[in-house]
Amino acid sequence: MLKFDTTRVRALFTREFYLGYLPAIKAASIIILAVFVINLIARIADPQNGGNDEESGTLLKFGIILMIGGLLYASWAFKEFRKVSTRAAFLALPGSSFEKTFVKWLFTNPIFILTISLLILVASLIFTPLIHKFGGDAYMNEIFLSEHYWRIVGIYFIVHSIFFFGSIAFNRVAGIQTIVFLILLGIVSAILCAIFFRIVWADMFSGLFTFAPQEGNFRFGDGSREPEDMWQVQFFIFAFKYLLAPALWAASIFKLSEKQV
Amino acid sequence: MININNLSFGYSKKKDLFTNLNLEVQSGRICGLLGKNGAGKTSLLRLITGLLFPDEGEVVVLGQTIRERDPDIAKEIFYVQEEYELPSMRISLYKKLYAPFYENFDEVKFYDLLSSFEVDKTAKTNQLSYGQRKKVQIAFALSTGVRLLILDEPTNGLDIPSKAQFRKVLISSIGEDQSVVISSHQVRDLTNLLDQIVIVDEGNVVLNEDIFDISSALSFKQVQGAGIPEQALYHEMVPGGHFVVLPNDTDEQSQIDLEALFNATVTNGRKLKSIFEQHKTKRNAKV
Repeated sequence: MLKFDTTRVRALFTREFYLGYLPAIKAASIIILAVFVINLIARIADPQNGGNDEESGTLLKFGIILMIGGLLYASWAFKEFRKVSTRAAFLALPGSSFEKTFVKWLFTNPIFILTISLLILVASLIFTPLIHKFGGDAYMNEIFLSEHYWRIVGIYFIVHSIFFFGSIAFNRVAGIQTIVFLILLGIVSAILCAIFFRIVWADMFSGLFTFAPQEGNFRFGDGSREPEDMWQVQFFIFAFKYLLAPALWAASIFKLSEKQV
Repeated sequence: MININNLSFGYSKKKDLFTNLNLEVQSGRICGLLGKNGAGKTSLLRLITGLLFPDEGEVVVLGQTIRERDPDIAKEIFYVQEEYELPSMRISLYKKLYAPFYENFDEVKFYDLLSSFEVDKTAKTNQLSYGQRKKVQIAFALSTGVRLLILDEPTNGLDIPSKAQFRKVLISSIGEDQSVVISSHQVRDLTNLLDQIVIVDEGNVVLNEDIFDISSALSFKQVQGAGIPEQALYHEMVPGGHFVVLPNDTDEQSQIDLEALFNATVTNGRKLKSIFEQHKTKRNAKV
């Protein structure tokens, strides 16, 4: 399951490049081009609109395209699972679960981020001077050095891991099934939290879910501390930020090794 | 090559497809896997390739439990599925993408086999007919040089000349250290191709015999007139008489009719089993 052989990885890499990456990047390039062309047309139509906020404008385009495109791509990562025959062919391909997951991860995560960044950079290098010719603003493009860029990448890492795992767990329409699963998980969590809240802070309720009138300010948390100061909450935030993605990537390897036709 | 020990498997918990199934296929053989529709031929092939996991028991292929999906074992197995859509691309690109997974892949052989099958090697896979795509798959499979080739209904979609071509190509392409397991319900397509016949029925292996043993223990012949010999294990009406399967009391061997053998096994399995046991006892006594 965890074997790693460079020859096999190279073969998996080449296969994935042609069958997964090229079609995805063709689609992403068309979308990026369309976004910048629409932006240009909008500027020509109304030169005063758009202001001087080029950095955040490009970042916004980058963020939206990375998130929507990336999540679609991550959900599509194991597209072989959609049909029994292609699923069987992929599972029968010589390669460990680690190698197969690693190559898919490479393309849908770092390579995709890099490609989208490059495409946005090239598009903004071409289109921004044109846009500003009509808008009359100075050209600027420092998005790849900005803190926001890395924040977007960080968020992508987390959501990617969820949709990437979903694409192994669900055979068909993995993206939609993952979203439905997340909604259900959210509802169940909310219900459990409500029950927990009702039991722990029973004094605050007069009826089943009716708040009892309180005197003064009532603060939730351990003693007088705010919830965000509690170590449990801090650990939860830390786990969500730094542990969830690697854990789900690792789980993807195990899930793949248990996958059957 | 393949050892299946006490295999139990089912898609639902209520009903097992296989119960305590045992099977052994030795290396260097072409084994035909026959069974009715829904008997579980494809499932058994998928269990052998590690694409399905047994509920109980184990499947050992090339000395290793196949469930572990060791890539070093996987590169020695190639599975041609009954229904598989080749990715839409040029045949040369298909070869470029998939050949590196098999270290013994023979490119010259691949293009030679395509020529034998009369498939245009410069074509795109989506321009080919179903039968031609199947030929590309078979040609690729035979060029991989793997030790175990698994073919699920390989002759489906092939026209009559191609079926004969398939048999010819398969026999000439297989090395001594290679084994082939072929599943088919079109048993006539496998005539003169097999070394071993395995018949699965009602969740178990009801026949697993060498071709030599079958042709020595059973006699396949046509009898004239309306009379059917009493000891016939299976009979069917043919113009002018009956085609029958009988225990072979002589030293003469007859041409095996796979369809009749299959029907005899399914309708008269126990009797057939005892005939093979007696035959083996006799043979061992002679030795």
